[in-house]
Amino acid sequence: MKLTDIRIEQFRQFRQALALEGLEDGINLISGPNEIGKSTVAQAIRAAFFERYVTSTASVYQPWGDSAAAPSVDLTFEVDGERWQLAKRFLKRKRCDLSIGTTTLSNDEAEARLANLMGFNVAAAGASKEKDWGIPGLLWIEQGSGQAIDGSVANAQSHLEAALESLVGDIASAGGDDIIHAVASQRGELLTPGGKPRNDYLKTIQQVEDLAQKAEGFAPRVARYQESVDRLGELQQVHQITQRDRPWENLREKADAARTQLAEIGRLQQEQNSDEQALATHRTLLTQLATRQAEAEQLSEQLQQRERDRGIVQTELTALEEKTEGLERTLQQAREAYQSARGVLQQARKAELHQSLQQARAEANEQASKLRKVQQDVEKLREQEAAARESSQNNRIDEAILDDLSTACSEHDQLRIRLETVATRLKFQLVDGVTLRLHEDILSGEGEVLLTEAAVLDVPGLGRLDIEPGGNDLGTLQREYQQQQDSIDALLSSLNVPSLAIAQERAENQRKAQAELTRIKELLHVTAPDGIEALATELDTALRQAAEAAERLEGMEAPNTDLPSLDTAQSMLDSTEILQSEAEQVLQSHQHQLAIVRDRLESAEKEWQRLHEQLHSEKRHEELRQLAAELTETQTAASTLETAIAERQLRINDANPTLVKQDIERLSASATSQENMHREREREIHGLQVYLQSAEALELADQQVECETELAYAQRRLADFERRAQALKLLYTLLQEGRQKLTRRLQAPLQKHLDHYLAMLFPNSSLQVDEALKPDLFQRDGETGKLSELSFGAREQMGLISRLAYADLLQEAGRPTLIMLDDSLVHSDAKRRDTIKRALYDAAQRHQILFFTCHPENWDDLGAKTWDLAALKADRPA
Amino acid sequence: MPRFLHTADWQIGRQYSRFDATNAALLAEARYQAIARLAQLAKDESCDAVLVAGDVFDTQTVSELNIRRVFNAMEAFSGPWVLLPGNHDAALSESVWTRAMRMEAVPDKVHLALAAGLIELETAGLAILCAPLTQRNTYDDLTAPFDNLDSSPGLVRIGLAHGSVQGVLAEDIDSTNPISATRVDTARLDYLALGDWHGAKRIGERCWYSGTPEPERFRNNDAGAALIVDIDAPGSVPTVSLHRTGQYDWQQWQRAMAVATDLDELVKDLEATPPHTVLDLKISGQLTLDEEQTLNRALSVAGARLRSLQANLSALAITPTEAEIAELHAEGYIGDVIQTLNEQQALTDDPAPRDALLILAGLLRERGTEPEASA
Repeated sequence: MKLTDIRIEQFRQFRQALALEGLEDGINLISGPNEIGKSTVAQAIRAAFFERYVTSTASVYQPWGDSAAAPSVDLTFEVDGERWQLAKRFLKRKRCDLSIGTTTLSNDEAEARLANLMGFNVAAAGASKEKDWGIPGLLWIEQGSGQAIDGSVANAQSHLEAALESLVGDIASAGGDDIIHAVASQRGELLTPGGKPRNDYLKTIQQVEDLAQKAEGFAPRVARYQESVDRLGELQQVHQITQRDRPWENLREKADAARTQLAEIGRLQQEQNSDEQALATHRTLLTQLATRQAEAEQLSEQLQQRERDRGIVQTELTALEEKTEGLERTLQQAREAYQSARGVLQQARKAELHQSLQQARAEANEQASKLRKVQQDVEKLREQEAAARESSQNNRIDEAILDDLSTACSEHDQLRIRLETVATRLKFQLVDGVTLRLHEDILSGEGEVLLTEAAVLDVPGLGRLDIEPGGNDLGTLQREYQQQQDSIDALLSSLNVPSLAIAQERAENQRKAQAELTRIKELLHVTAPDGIEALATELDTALRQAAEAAERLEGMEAPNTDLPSLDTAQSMLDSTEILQSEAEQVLQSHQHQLAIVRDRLESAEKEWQRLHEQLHSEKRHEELRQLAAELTETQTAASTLETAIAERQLRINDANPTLVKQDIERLSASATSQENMHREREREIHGLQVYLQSAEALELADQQVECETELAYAQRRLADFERRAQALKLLYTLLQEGRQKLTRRLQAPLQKHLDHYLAMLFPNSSLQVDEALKPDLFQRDGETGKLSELSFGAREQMGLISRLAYADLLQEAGRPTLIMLDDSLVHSDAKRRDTIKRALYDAAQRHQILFFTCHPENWDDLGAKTWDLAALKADRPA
Repeated sequence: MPRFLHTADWQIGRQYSRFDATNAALLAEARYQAIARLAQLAKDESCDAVLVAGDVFDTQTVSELNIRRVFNAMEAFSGPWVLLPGNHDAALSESVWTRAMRMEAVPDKVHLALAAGLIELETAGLAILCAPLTQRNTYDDLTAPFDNLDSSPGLVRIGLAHGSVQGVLAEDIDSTNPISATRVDTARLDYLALGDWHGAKRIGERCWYSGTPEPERFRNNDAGAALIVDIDAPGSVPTVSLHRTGQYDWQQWQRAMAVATDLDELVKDLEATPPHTVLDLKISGQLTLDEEQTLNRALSVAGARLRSLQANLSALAITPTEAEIAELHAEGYIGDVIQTLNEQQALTDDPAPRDALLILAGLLRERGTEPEASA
C-alpha cells in the first residue's frame, strides 16, 4: 500500500486546505515545530479510516470556534497497483466516497470496504474506539504510546489471525472464537472457571445431599416402627397367657402355707425361750444357796483358827518376858567398865604433859647458847668490813678520767714518734773540743739532734748556721704534740696524781678493797640472814620459853610411872562406850517387841470371843436348816425344766424355721416379680400402642415416600447437570486446545521478523512472543525478564521493532501496510537513534512510513524526503 | 352356583419415584380407579363375592386418607368382600388393618381375614379357607392347616392365600411364603385363589394367580386383569375367565440403530403407540446429526402424547457425515474438534463426547441460521 496524496480542509489548525502530494515510497519525514499541525495530519488520516462519516463526535475536528465548518479529508493511495481514492466529509456535508479503479462505493459500503482492506472494525456508534482499530491501531503509533503494545496487539489479534490465515497454509477459523465464547458462556452457567459446580448445578448437588441424608434418617425410624410392631406382637402373646393363668396367685398361696407353718414354730420357740429363762433363774438360785452353805461351814473352822492364833501369841509373850532380866544385867556391867576406863585416861594425860614440859625447857636452853656464838661471829665480820671500806675510800679514783688520761698518753707517744721522724736530723761528730751551740744547747762530741723548728747553730768562731727544718707539717705536728702534752697535764691535775703509773696503781687498790667488801657482806648474810636485831629477839624468845617450862614443872607432882600410854587408855574408853551403847539398844528393842506381842494377844482374844458367840447362836441354826430344804427343792425343779427343753428343741430343729422363712421370701418375691412383669408388659403394650397409633408413626411412610420421590427427582436432575457439565468441559477444553495450537503456528513467522530487527538494535538478545502474539519475554546476556520490566526507552524501541515485524508479517500475507510514527523515539539517545535509523531504513525498503517529528535535525540522515509543514502552510496556494 | 371375582396385589400406596411428579401421581391414582373398576365388574358380572388374595396395601403405614379411599372405591359392589393380608400388609400386632378398624373405616360388607381359619359366606355358597400372613415373611406353608380344616357341607371350598407355589414360579421369586403345589388336592379345595405374582397365571385347573388389576412395573406378562370364577357345586371344575382391568400399558423397548430404516421403524412404532402407554425406551447404535434431530423430534412428540416416555440414549453415538460437517462450516480447529469428538465416541461409553458433539453442532447450526456479518 502506498499513500500518495493527502488533502485536509477545515480540519483543526487547517482552516485552509493543506495538501501533501506525491508522497514517496519508504520514509516520508513530515516535520515542523510544535503546534504547527503534525499530529493533526496523523489524526486526519485516522479519522478518514476509523471515524464514521455520520458521527457527530467529529465536531472535535472543526477548527476552533468554527461550528459551521465541515472537516474533510481526501486520501489517494495505491493497493496492488490499483488506485484508491477516499473522500470523507464530516458534519455539515457528511459523506464518504471511495473509488477503486473504476468502481465507486459510498458511505456505509465504502467504510465497510475500507475496514475490510485495512483490518479494523467499523465503529458501532459515536466515535471510533481503540478496540475497533485492529491492524492500523497496531501500525500507527500515536504520540507517546509507542511503548504500550499489549493493548494494540490484543485489539488487532483477530484481524491478525484472519489476515495470516493464508500465511500458515491452513484455514484458521477466526470465527471459532464466537463458538468458544458460546461454549464458555454455557459452561460458565454450570461451572466456575476452576471447574467447580455452581448455580443450579451446585444447588442440585446440595439438594441431593440434603435429601439423601434426610432419606437415610428414615431408616432408623422405620426400623423402630417395625421393631415396635414385632415387640407388641410378642408382648401381647405372653400377656394373654399370664392374664389367664395368673401364676403369681399360686405362688402367694404357697407362701401363705409356709407362713402358717412358721407361726407354729414361732409359738414353740416362745415356750422354749420362757422355759430356758426359768431354768437359768433356778441355776442362779442354786449357785447362791451353795455359796451360803459353804459360808456357814467356814465359820466354825475360823473359830478354831482364832483359838490357835491366840495360843501362839501367848507363848511368844512368855518367852519374851523371860529374857528381860538378863538384858538389864548386861547393861549394868557395861556402864561400870566405861567409868573405869575414863579414870585411867585422865591419869595418862597428866603424865604426858609433864614429860613434854621437861623436853621444852632443855631445847630452849640449847637454842640460847647457839645464838650467843653467832652474835660473836657477826661482830668480827663487822670489823673486817670497816677496814676494807676504809681502804676503798683511800684509793678512790675517777675511772673515766683515768681512761681519758691513758688514751691521751698513748696519742702523745705516737705524735712524738711522728715528730721525730719528720724532724731534721742533725748528726754531728765533732772533733774533740769543739763545741757548737745550738740555741742554748751546746753540742759536742758525737751525737744527733732532731730539729723540729728553726734553729740557729752557732759555730763559734765561724759564725752561725740557721737551720730551717723542712716539711710542711712539722709545724702542725709540733703544735699538736704540745696540745696533747697540755691535756695530759690537765688530766693528771684533775686526778691529783703525778703520773699515769701512780693513777693506775691507785685504781688497782680500790678494786681489791671492793672485792673484800663483797665477800664480807655475803658472809654476814649467811650468818645472820634476818639481821642482828632478829638474832637478839630470837635469843630473848628462847630464854623466856625455858623459863616458862621450868615454872610449870615446878607446880607439878611427879607422875606415876606404871600408867598405860595415852593412846591405849583412849582406846579402852572407846570400846567400853560401844559395849554400853549396844546393851542399851538391845534392851529398848526387847521392850518394844513386848508391847507389840501384848497388843496382838489382846486382839486375838477379842476375835475369838466374837466368833465364839456367833457360832453358838439359835438364829444361825435355823438359817442352816432352811437353806438345806431350799436347795433340794430348786434342784428338782431345774431337772424337770431341762428335760422339757431338750424335747422341744428336737421338734423345733425338725421344722427348720430358717428354710421355711426363705421359702416365704422366695415365693413372695416370685409372686411380686411375676405380677410386676405382667403389669410392666401391660404398660409397655399400652406405650407401644400409643406410639404405633401416633401421628408420628403413621405419617412416617408418607414422609419417607415423599422424601424418596424428591430425592429420585433431584438425582435425575443432577445426572442431567453432570452429563451436560462433562460435555461442556470436554468441548471447551478441546476448543481451547485447537485455538492455542493455531496461535502457536502463527508465532513462528512473527518470531522470524522480530529476530531480524532485534539483531540490529539489541545484538545477542532475544524477544519471545506469547500465545496471544504479544512480545513477552526479553532475554539479553543470559538474563530473562518481562518486556514490561525494561526502561521506558527500551520498551518504546521494542514496541517499534515489534510493529515493524508485524508489518513484515502482514505484508508477507499479502496485506496492505502503512506505518505512521507520530513524534516517536524522543526517549532514545543519539547512539541508539542511529541503530533505529538503520532498522527504519530497512523497513522502509518494504513499507511506506510516515514519520512525524518536530526535531528534523535528529533524523536528517534517514535518507528520506522531508515535508516541512511550516513551509507548506506558507506556500499554500491561494 | 357360586360366582366370585378373584383379584390380588392392589399395592395401594405404591409410589413411582422414577417418574416425574405428575405422572407418578396419575399412576398412583390409577390404583384406586382399578378398585372401582373391580367393584363395577363384580356388580356387572353379578358376582357373589370378591376375594382379594393379599397385598391390598403396599405398605403398613398408608395414610388414613388413603385407607378410607380404598374402602370408598369398593362402593359399587355391595359385597361380600374378603380381604386377605399379604406380605406387604401382614396382620401384625399393629398393622394397616388394626388402624382401619380403629378408624372404623371397614364397612360391614368387608370381611378381614386377619386370622387363619374359615370364613363361611352362606349366601354366596362359599367357605373361604384363609391363610393370612401374620408375619412379614415366613418359611412355613401357611396353607398346611387347610388339610384339616372342615367346612360346612354344601359350601364350595375356596382357599385364599398369598405366596409362591413351590416349583412353579421362576426362581427369582423369593422362596418365602411357600405354598405346596399339591395343596388343592390335600385340602380338598374347589379352587385356590392366590396372590403375590403380579401377572395372571394359571397354576392348575383349580389354582390361579389373578395378578394385579393395574400394572406397576415393566416386567410381568398379563398384569392388569381380574379373574371371574364360576363353580357349579362343590367338586365341580371351575370356569375361569380373565377380564382386563388395567388402565395403563407398561412397555419396555430396546432398539438398535444400525441401518437408516431402523430409525424410520422406531418413529413409526412411536406414532402407533396408544396414549395410555408407559414407555421405557433404550436406544443404542449410531445416528447422523440429521437423524439425531429426527429422533429428537419423534421423542418429543411421543413424550407429549404418551402417559410417560423415558428414553435412555447413553448407548447411542452421533456420527456427523462429511456433508453435515461441511454444512456446519466447521472449519479450522472447530473441524478438528468435531473429528476428535467423533473418535472419542467410538472409544468410550462415556456420553460426554456425544453430548459435546451435539452441543457444538447446535451452536454451529445456530450460527449458520444467523445472517452473515460480512458477505
